[in-house]
Amino acid sequence: MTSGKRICVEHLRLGRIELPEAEVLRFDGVPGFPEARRFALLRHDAGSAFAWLACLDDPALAFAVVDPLELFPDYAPALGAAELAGVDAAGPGEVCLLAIANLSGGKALVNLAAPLVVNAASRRGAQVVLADERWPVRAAIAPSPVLRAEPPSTRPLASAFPRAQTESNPQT
Amino acid sequence: MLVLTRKTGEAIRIGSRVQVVVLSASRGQVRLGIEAPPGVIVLREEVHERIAEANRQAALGGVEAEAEDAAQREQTEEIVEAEASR
Repeated sequence: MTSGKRICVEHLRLGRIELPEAEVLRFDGVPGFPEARRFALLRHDAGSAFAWLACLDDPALAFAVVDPLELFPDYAPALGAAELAGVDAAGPGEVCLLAIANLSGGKALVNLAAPLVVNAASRRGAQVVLADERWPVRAAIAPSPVLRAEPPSTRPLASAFPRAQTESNPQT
Repeated sequence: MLVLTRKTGEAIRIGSRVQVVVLSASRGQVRLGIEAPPGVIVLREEVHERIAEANRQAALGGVEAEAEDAAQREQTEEIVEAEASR
């Protein structure tokens, strides 16, 4: 086994982040942050529904993210071939879903209108703006969880989130 | 900003793989046809901006900025109260 290069970033919000380069998630920017390309997914304490998605290009930028399928069992966004191709995925079984949570104002509001689609194998990610307007930009979850300030530890994405079941058609 | 004039049926290319065709234009409305490879996201500007705004609000800086705002407000209220009781 080859020990690949490690990335080390001093993040202004989350402290020192160190992870193998192979675990870095690559986005082609996200709306509002076009220059944000490299992210690290950092797990919170066990039992917390939240993880951090820390930007490695902008040390001030991080998003709190959740597994939307865990908090919203009915959530079933339709991902088209174009969205899947954007993260090098051939079928919906190859991607994980994350959703950005807005924790300001003492509430946790989850953006279900534009989930983050991540291919755990290729480490490519994209924020997909769903055509289906059924899913809100600010979906409330209760009760409001308390955010911890201490730096979280890193864990591999695949173990952090289960694979998304986003479409009923079988994978070919 | 690059400005181009096109007639109905004419097109522009953005890179070698994105083509935008003017399908029709009348009464202040333009219909565009867009050919782009899979993975190139095409959105109406207002839809993109709605998500961008949600992202800016959700970004971690937003939480702290708001906490600072709240602390600032409290301080201001204390000053106002102190001045009022004088």
